[in-house]
Amino acid sequence: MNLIQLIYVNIKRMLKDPLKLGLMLIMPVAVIFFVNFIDGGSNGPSPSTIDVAFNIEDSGNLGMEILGAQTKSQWILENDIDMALELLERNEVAIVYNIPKDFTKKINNYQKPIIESYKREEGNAVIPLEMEINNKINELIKEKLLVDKGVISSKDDLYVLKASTLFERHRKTTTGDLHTVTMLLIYFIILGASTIGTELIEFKKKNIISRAVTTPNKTATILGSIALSLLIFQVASNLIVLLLGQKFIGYNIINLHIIVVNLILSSLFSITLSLAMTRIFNNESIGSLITALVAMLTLFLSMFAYGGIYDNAPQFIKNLGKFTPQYWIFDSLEKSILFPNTFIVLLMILALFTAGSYKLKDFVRK
Amino acid sequence: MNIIEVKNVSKKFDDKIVLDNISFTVEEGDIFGLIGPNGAGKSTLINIMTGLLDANNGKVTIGGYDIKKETLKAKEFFGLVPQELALIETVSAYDNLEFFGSLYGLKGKLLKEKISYALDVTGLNEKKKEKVKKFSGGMKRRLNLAAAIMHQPKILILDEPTVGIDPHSRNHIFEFIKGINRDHNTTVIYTSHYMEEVEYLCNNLFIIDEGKEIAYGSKKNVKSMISNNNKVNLKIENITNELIDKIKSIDGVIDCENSHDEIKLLVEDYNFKLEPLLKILENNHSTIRSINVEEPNLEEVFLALTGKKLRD
Ligand SMILES: Nc1ncnc2c1ncn2[C@@H]1O[C@H](COP(=O)(O)OP(=O)(O)OP(=O)(O)O)[C@@H](O)[C@H]1O
Ligand SMILES: [Mg+2]
Repeated sequence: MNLIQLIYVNIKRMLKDPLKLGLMLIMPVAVIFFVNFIDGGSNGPSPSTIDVAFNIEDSGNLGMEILGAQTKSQWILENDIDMALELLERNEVAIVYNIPKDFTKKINNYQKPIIESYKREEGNAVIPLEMEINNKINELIKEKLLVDKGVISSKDDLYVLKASTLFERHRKTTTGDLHTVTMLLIYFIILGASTIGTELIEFKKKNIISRAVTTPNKTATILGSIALSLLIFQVASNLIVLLLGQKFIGYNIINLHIIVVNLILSSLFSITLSLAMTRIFNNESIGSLITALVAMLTLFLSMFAYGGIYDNAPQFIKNLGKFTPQYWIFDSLEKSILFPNTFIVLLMILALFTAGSYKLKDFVRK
Repeated sequence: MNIIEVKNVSKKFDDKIVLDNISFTVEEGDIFGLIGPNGAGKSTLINIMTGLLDANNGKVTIGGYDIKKETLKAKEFFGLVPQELALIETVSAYDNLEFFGSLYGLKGKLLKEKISYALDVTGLNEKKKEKVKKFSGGMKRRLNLAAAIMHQPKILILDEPTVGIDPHSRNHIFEFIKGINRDHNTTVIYTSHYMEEVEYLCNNLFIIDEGKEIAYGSKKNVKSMISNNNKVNLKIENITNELIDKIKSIDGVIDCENSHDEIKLLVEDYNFKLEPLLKILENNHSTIRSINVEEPNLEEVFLALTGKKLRD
């Protein structure tokens, strides 16, 4: 069948095109480097960007322990809540924490002490800090408990133990990284739709497609071979980068087939989207602009639908997000399932393909 | 056998009639010229013949197959050299030929052989590894041709293949066209607005202007549309009145003028024969220094038929 030969020469041609090869490989490599760099650089929680005041009324000595939390700057006052509130009033700090008298006592009784906070307004900026304080308190209680029950003889033993759990945790975060990397690769594959569109338009502008149509091949075979070679090229280059990541960075790839299927689906979506857009919009710059916009928009919608970061988005937007292929692709990766996600995405691609193909003839001809 | 038949083809763009009821046939093994000034509708006609455009009316068959109904079978017959260059600029000449060769169903060893054949005949072998974007205009034109001949089609359709190239490249292309026509009996459709090219290459031709047929037939017939008369110019010695009288009495001679060493004849194309003239000159012991027969050229034909010059 001629299709295979056509795909073969197309891929060979792309491999010989340094620019194209670079673009296709640089993106995934950059993603991996980026994710690793971010991860490698942050051993603790990221420092808060706010100013805080702690007023310590604790009669014991554990209250001081939580001061190690990372903040932009901190005021440490002892038994001077008035001064602390004045700082808040003067806008010099964004929040005041009052560490109560019974702080040490409660921890020693394995209870959680209540820390009062005074803020001017509600905001998310303090969440990491408060989580850190919370963790610290939990740790203090745990330490106390373990020492008292004789599980460990001293506080230091806890850290020996923790070192090994830390290692466990690290292994887990690498799979987490793989997840992030895969997601990012898929973002970029779909965002790259406009690049593919440019390639197709370039072919059209340089009369390659119209010339190809005068050869004894079906139009579908010609466009199909170009699209399929782009697909294979894209999936292969992303996969190679992931496998290299497994070898050199130590990603723990468990469900390779799910990753491969989703890479293929996203590439397919990306190509179909760009084909449809270049066909619907005759003006190429508008076409590629709209392609990029659609890619972005569907990405955001899928993120709204997936919840988490954008929890307070209106419900109808979340529902709308479920009509994007990204939502189902990410869902498939998240849950390690293929059914029904793959099926749904394929249907979406098919719908897009049919929507775009009514102008197929016009695209091929002048 | 008619390898190409174009029957009553009309084409409108919006409301503008670009082709108006065009019909002609091309015999296998012919070199057929399609001539007309810029915007005459030549490329539109080629696009319809090669299945790139649909006509509003009429029918085209290639090798007996209707281009609209049995498209793929019809397309197997020809290779098209489009007027607009159709090349992938970012890769080498070789890679381009590999791409287009594959589109013609070639692969493997055969593909390699055909690529080097095409590179050879277009004189691009030394440049095959170079990126097309570095090519000169003439080299691109030759590569554009090479891409259409790898599968050695029965029909080669060329749409203004010599635009913007130097005489050397142009001769190269002419020799190639004559060669495949002679050696492989390839039918050639040659489109141009250079009359002298068509005059040199073609046996039959179709002249088109503003979408309408101006003239169609063999080169000789088309020329005879404006005049059946040719000019014969002789340079000889010993011109006498007696000789002039004898020449005037030859069949087909309409008029005879002479100066001291030159005779200019106006003759009827169909009746006039050279032999009696040569016999008379021999009997007269005249030394012939030169003799030439001048037919009206296509440029003049076009001017006479349309009242326009082909090019400014
Ligand atoms: N896609 C199109 N839409 C509208 N008009 C067109 C289109 N293509 C060609 N035309 C018009 O049709 C006429 C014939 O064009 P065509 O390209 O066939 O001429 P041509 O004989 O090949 O000229 P040239 O020698 O310049 O190549 C021109 O007037 C041109 O403007
Ligand atoms: Mg033209």
